[in-house]
Amino acid sequence: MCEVEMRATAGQEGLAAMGYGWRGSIGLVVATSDLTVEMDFHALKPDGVAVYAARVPLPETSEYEEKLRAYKGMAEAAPAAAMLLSDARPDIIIFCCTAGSVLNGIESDREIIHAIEAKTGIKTITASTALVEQLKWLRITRIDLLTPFTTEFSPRVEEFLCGNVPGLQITNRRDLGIVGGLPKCMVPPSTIYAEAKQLASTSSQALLIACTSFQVLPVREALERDLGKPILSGNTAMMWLACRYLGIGMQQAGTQAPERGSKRESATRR
Amino acid sequence: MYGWRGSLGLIVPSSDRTSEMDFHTLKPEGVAVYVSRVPLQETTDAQEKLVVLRRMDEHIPDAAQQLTDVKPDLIVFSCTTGSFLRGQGTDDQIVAEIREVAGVEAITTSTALVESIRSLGCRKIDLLTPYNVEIGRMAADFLSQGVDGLVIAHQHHMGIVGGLAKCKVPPSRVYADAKEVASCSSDALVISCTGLQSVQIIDTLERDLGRPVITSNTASLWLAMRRLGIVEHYTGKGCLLGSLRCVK
Repeated sequence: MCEVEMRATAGQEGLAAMGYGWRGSIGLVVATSDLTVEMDFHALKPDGVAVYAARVPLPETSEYEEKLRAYKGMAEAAPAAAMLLSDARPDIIIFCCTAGSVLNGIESDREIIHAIEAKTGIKTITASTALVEQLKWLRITRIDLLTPFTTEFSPRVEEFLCGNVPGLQITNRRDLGIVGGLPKCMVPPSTIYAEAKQLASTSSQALLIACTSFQVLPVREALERDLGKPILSGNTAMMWLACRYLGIGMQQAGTQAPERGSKRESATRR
Repeated sequence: MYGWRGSLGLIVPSSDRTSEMDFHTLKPEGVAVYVSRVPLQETTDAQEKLVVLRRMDEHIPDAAQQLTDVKPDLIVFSCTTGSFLRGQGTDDQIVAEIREVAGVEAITTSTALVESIRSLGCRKIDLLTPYNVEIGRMAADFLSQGVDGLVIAHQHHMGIVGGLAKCKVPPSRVYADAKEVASCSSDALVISCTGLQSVQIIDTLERDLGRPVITSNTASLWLAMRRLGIVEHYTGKGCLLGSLRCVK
């Protein structure tokens, strides 16, 4: 073992003994049917960052109108779930649902943020806020958009993104047409890879894959390399924005944009 | 895919900053962990603590309900005090409640402590808890009544009432207190409380004491893995988790 490695190990041991969350902690408000977002956050969290979750009811349904009502109910129940999280004193709370945070037009996320912040007094962001902030930060204005949602619902995502990111254009869009929450979690990452590759246009600067339940993480880096452009996804965008607010630099794949070659290129090429 | 090998639902007290981190840190490959919270009102008053702990109980069915969508293979009620508060049978009652609401098998932390002490064949243990003396003695009683012939040699209770405060005890202090409480004749040291951060120092502590150290969270993860039939080769996470490799 070389000297440098020895020092690194010794340092890590000391840090571990400090316990969880010495650098910051993140609270997640998670839909009851989301099997992905919590696991993604625990996979992506930097050293010294703790992640805590509370669930908010999103009744399973395959009927579209009922689903809209379920999303509304979830947004209304979010502050109560956030209150449970606040007992664990996270530094930031994230409302982890893309659809739920684009539901009522371009102010959707702010309504949820205000409701949670008013109740808990803790800084709050949502999935859709994070996507907007990451697009703006990377100065991306032309994207392809892949969603698991229905073509009826997806225009709300477009409207939200375009209404909040000045000059944003959606080059191509593809919706997998899934209504239920659990089926979104069950889409194999290989399917997401194939759909994304088929969708990507030559003129887009990035591909955005919406939905916190979608298992994008396993194929994200491969997609980024194969398409030669950044892949933005709900969960990595949320982790990125949360870490920015906490003042924490990230090394994990896809979350520290300037370090990823393709992202830097597209951010500066413009 | 997450959870291809098995998935756990974890019910934690709202102020617990430790058990889900322990589970996510220690979960074997292919095992998913999903959390729901039960409200545990913060208090520093010992009498009120008993009241808020009982009130937390009432919310267990709701929290179990919130885990039904993720279809876990097993639900873990991750609170030691909450699962021994009403004496022997507290844990069985909670398990029955969860099973009824969620339709899946369940375990609790205090069940796991009893099972793990039995599994390691301990006759005499030392007990370290963050609780006040009253709740600490209840823990000792629950364990000694649950395991035939078990003797609690030494016990030390840190006297902390607040839930959050228990999570904020540095692992280095747990180490120091553990070394102090360990008697020369015990077979193992049990560190009770899912909120106490002790996984970080378990390996060092076992080496220095020369005997197994069982913590609330390593016990419940160990029992959960046995119930799911998952064998993981743990090293440096304590003898108990290490024993999973030879379990059939």
